[in-house]
Amino acid sequence: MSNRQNGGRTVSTAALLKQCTENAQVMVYVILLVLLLLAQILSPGYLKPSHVAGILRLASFMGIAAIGQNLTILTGGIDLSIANTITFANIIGAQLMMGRDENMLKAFLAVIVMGLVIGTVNGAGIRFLKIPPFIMTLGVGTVVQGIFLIYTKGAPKGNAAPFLRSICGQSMFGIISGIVIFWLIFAVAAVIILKKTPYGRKIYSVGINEQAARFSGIHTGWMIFSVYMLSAVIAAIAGFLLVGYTGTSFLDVGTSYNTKTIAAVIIGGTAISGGKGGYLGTVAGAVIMTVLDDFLTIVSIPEAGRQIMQGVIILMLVLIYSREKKK
Amino acid sequence: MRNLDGYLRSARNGAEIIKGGYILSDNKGKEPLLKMENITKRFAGITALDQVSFSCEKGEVHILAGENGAGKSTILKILSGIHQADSGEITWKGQKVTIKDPQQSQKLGIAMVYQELTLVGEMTVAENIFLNQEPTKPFGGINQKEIKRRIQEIMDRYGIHIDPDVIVNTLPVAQQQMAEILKILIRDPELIILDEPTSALAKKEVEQLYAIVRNLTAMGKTIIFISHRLEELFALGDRITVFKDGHYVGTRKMKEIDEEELIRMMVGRSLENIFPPALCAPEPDKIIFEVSDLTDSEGKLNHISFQVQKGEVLGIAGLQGHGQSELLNAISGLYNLTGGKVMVNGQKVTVKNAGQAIANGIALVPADRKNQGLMLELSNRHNLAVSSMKKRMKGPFIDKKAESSFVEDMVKRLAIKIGNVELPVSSLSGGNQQKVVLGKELATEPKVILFDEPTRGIDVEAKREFYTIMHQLAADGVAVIMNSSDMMEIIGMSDRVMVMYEGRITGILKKEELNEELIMQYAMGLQKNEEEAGA
Amino acid sequence: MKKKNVFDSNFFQKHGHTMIIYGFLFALMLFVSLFNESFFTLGNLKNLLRSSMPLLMVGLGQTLIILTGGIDLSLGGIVALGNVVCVTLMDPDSPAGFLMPVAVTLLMGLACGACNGLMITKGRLAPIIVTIATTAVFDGLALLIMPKPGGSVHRAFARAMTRGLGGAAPLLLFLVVLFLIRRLTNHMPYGKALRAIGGSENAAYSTGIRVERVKLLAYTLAGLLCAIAGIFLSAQINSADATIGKNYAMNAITATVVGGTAMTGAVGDPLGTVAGVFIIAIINNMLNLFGVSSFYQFVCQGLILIVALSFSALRKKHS
Repeated sequence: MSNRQNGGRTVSTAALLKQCTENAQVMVYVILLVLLLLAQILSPGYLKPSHVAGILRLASFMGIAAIGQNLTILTGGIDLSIANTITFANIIGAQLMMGRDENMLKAFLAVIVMGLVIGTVNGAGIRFLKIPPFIMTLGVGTVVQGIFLIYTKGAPKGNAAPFLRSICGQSMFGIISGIVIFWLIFAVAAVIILKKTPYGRKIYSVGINEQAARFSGIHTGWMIFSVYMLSAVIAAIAGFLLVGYTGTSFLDVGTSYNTKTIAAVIIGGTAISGGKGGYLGTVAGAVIMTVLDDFLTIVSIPEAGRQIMQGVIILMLVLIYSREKKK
Repeated sequence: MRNLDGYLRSARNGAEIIKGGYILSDNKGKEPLLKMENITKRFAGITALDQVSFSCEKGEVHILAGENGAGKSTILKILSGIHQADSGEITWKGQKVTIKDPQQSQKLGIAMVYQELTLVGEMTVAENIFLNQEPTKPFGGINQKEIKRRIQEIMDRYGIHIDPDVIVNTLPVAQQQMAEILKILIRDPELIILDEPTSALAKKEVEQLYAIVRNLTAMGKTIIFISHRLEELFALGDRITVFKDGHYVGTRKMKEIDEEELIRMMVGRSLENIFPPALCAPEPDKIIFEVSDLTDSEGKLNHISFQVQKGEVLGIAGLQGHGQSELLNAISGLYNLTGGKVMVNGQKVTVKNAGQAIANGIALVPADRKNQGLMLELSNRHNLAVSSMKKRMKGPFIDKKAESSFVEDMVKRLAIKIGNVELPVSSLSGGNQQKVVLGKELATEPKVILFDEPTRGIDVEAKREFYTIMHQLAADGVAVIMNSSDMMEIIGMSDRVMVMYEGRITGILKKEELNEELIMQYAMGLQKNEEEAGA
Repeated sequence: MKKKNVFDSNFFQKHGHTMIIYGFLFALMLFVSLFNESFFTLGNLKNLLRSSMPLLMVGLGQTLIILTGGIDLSLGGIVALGNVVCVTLMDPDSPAGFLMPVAVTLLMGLACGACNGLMITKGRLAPIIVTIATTAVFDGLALLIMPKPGGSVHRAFARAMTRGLGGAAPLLLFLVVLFLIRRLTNHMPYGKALRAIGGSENAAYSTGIRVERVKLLAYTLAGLLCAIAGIFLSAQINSADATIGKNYAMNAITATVVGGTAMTGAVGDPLGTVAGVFIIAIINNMLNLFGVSSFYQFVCQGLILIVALSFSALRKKHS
């Protein structure tokens, strides 16, 4: 898929090259392409459609959760409660569904409400008490972790409804999983909102210069509040969908998602200082993270090694991007 | 070194007496203390300094003059190691030097009192004064006794008395300024740079500062002094160097130059040519904007009431930090009020936040273009459109076509020199950036427009265009209010001037009675208007 | 007379929050002793200190960094790595088998801290993002070195660390570290530089402070303190666990904030952090005492952090 997108752009090689070097959001697709080719060379058959579809399916959870992270980072903040929100949503979802389709709506609504509550607390602390986002969300994340531990007494119950399972299953439309379609819809919505609506413009304004945004008549407090709200709700949805993938829930199902979503956003060319970037790059970022993880698994590098890899990649990319900015 | 007459100089008659007593020619043939030659500095493609030269002799007070944005601050920041020159040579006491950071500048014996203070607000006065300079005991601990002793000594010597154990944040600005000066003096530098040190000081402190400057030169120290107050330049300076738009204009002895020539050097033309004539006469019986009894919780605004007539430009003058910016911010919803009302065209409006103020037809061109006016790294299009997005919608989406034509129109209307509307606004020159801010505000179709220091850091040409636009707006029936610390601007542009002191209006002066001296008297709280005395 | 008053108000301005927090700590201790008669026994206090030791070290490190206006989320990773490295290299049978591992662990802590510091100063990157990334790296390395908890520690060494000198060894170690750190932050030029950077980096720079060097040293020292925490943990639990560091970074932030250090930097006192650590420890202790499931500790710690932050935010608003 991403292959095609790049092919369509090679109208003028020079223009493309210039754009690539200047625009991190384009560069990330080039990196993805190189990575995929490399994987294909090192492990023939890597790019066969069924495997690519599998990767996209895996990437979609991270991709969806990264929408919220992308919004908070664009405003110059960060959301470190995503991981535990995902886990909690996963637990509530499984527990209320109990493997039956008719419980799905109820479970979904409960998860949304949970997301709203977490988002409200985050947003209120950051907006009204002016607590730095990372520490507010870190604290809230810990509380959420405690709550789901108490709620489950350490042993989560329940499992996915068959319908949810089929959405997140191997093939809904040909070899494409339903979850990938979901992600596509989410992605298109995110890109359009960021690019074409006043809300999106305001997010960029707040991220680049909050004071100037306020002087320009933007209700910056509300903008900040709303992105944490959205981030928590989107993470909750991702956690809910994840039940369909895992079948049941685990206490650490979301643990890696803080680092992963941040990595996806940063790899995708969004500046950690806010105001620059967009979701289009994050999509590629999520796929890159998944491909790397997947490929390292194939060449049997243990979990620990993959974790180190994640850290190193984030560091390398922020270094490269910030160097470019200095020039 | 210095003639005794130097001691005799005082603020009031400094201009007339003793110039003859000073022996500049003594230094002839000797190397100057500091020589900067052909200095060039560019920021993101904009040339801030173009091949300028500047030199200073030991023991003199050298005035550096020029309008905002002429490059004075830039050359001084190069001298103090904050910026590095792209090309050019610096010679210090006959030795060629490169100054690569502030430490090195300090080591050479150069110290600067910056316009924006460099005190750490959370620390005490003593901690700040001795920051990075602390005397230590054998095991590396700070020697508090020594600090106490030396602070007492230096405070006594210069007659500045501030409680050294007080946290800086809790001090008024004027005292902070004095603490900053102490911080410089304790380092015992040879060359001291004072960048607009008096802009926030009241009369007593200004005189104190003059005394310090004289004291220092008497001890053989050299001073570079930047100021916008003409009387101050003549009272203190030995020589003056003028910059304009990043170029060197010339150096003169203070006693050989008069006000008129100085202004011509700074501005490049005489005053009548800068300030365009008004396009209409004010109509005193038509009040289009009115505020009454505005107060806040911090005492920055004390029962402020005034009116704006149709067709006039109302100027606001005063020393820095006497509530002018707070007043403008409060009217535009950016500063919390605890009481009072705001009326546009006779209608009471609420201004709880900037969005509301804009919706009610009140727009502000803020003082700090970089921090308050623009999102520098975003495009010209974004910046021009951001305050008025709602006017160009197609359903829930921004109508890109309408926006493009709006941007094009605005660029044309304000004659903004723009390469590409999609480029970041940081790529523009100061004047054009300021026009983008203005364009952003005009796009909201305001009924009242507030200008806070509208021409700070922009060149004369752009200034003139700005003034023309202001008159045009006034003629179109928009209430125009301008706060400025530039006295020439206030006198040249305003139909009436409202002077503020400690959050109160001390006087409203009519065009006929405007002069610098009178305004300063009101600004220092030495006079009060009869009509305002009751309010 | 007037002079004295000024002095008093300044004293309170400087140490008021530390005094309040110690007041709170003692009140809390009294409260606990109502339910637990053995609370004020020597044995229990020794226990309290021993179990708080690692967090004390990490908290002091975090305080140094927060004073500069920065943050380090990777401290827990360094603790875990320290624990794992120390135990892996340990030779329980040789009499001096603990020397080399301790030295290597300390060096490793310095290196990890310096790594963070270099990325932040030379790379000019945001501390949050750097330390989130290095957390992944440090945790990963620890896990790579020791995938499953285990190992054993030099017996004599472990005993000396945790119970030596009649149980005074940890106290001594703690007092020495606290003395050095507090001397650094409150009585030496370095501390002033640290605070100046936290207050205004530009002001510090134009005053001639070597901003990068000062910051780098803060991160490096924090790394060293985490290594000490890791070594102490090894002696305490007699084994290693790559996931042991998980909550340290956050608890250290909590302790620092509770102790009155401003997240924005410049203002704070390591002594306050010490009180913060003991408050956290005692509350955990209390929860155990009341038989509350350990899951509540998470909720509690998160809430303490948020409440402490809210307090300091409200205090700022009012002043």
